[in-house]
Amino acid sequence: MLKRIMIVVAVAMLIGVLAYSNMAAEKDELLYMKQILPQTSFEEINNNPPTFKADQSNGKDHYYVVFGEANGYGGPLKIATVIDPLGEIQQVVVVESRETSSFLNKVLKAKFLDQFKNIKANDPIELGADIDSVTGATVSSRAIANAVQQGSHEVAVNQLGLSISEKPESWKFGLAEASAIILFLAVLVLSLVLKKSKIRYITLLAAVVIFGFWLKIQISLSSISALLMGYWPPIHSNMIWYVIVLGGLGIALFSGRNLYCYWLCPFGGVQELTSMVRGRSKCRRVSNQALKLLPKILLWSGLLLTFLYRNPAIGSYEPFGTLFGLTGTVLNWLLLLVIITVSIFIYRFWCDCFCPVGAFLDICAKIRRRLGKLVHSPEKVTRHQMPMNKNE
Amino acid sequence: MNNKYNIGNILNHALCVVTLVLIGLIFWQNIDSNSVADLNAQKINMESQTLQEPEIPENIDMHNFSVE
Repeated sequence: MLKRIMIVVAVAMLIGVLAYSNMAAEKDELLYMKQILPQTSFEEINNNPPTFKADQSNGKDHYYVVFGEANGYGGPLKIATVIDPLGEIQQVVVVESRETSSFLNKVLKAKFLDQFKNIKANDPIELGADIDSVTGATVSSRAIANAVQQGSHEVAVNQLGLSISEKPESWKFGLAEASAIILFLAVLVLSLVLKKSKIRYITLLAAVVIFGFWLKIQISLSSISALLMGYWPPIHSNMIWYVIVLGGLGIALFSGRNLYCYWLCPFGGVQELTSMVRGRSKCRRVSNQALKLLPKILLWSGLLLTFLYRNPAIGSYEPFGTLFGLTGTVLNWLLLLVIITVSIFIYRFWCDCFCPVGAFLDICAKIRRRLGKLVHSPEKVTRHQMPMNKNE
Repeated sequence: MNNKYNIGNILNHALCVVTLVLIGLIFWQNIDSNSVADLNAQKINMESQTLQEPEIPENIDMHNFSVE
């Protein structure tokens, strides 16, 4: 009974914080303009998207400052674009971002924003054609380009009377997306149809290579909170995000089993590899039930923080990006070092004690098992659908 | 010795505490770096952007200019 009350209170707190943060006022663009241009007179000429006309010192020519918005990896990015009287972009400024700071810093340090200078406001402003993306921060680069494009085209058409040659939005579907879909389908067939549990070592290895070192993408607390907060990236250019996030979640909700963690998680795969250093049979496994509650507590804390700040990157503490993206602060590297070292001695130390993704998918699978007879009644399964016998 | 208090278990718990401290510090670091735009570093600069007339090189004779 006490457990149920605690669960209800925890969920109610999350919903309450999410509702409160959604009602909280957005950053006021007018206030921002006054801060950055204290000496210049300007007027708001449009509010969707917020557009300002600012006088130049000679009093004759007008500059336009327009605020565009697009979803990045961690949520909406707000970008201010300054357009000169000739219709050329003069400056691009990140006003609001929810990206992980190390990724945003990567974009800023690569002088990505400078690439927009002198581009015509009515140009397509297409990533890969007009602008080069920053390796390792493609989603953030694309979001910035989309936000600049949104604002610039608005000014070009409605203020400068220019016509835009907009290309139809093309769907990004290539080798990466195809590999991810094939891997997910393979896991579904091998685990649910053929029930070949030993083959998971092959799919895990493939996931380490494909999701980990190649695509540098996996389900994280950031993607879970972005999903729950409605910060969904554009599907035509981020299909891989949908395949992996909705794929992992979909399997849990469809089958009542958390297959992602032990069949597809690249960080789980790396821990399995490190456990082989001494031999799997020599590795201990966390057996303390209190320690096994930690992932759920951390999931709740991370979600609470992200909802409170309306920023999915805030709750992100996992070492995935540090390992596969080779980016992070000293603390991130230290955490990775501890986890990798300990996982030589304790089997899946991170998964059993700290992983919020495993906790979330376990909860989804449990809900499905409780509710569900959608497709079939899944048999009673152990945590993560994992054989508890470590010698297996 | 009671199995509950063997060296492995104590070490296990100690490592969990270390990891939790690191995670706590990462949360704090994330909150600290939540300030979105560094306004000082990202000032919009309009005053230096002045429209210029296209420059005509001095040695071109505009009266006898022809295109071949």
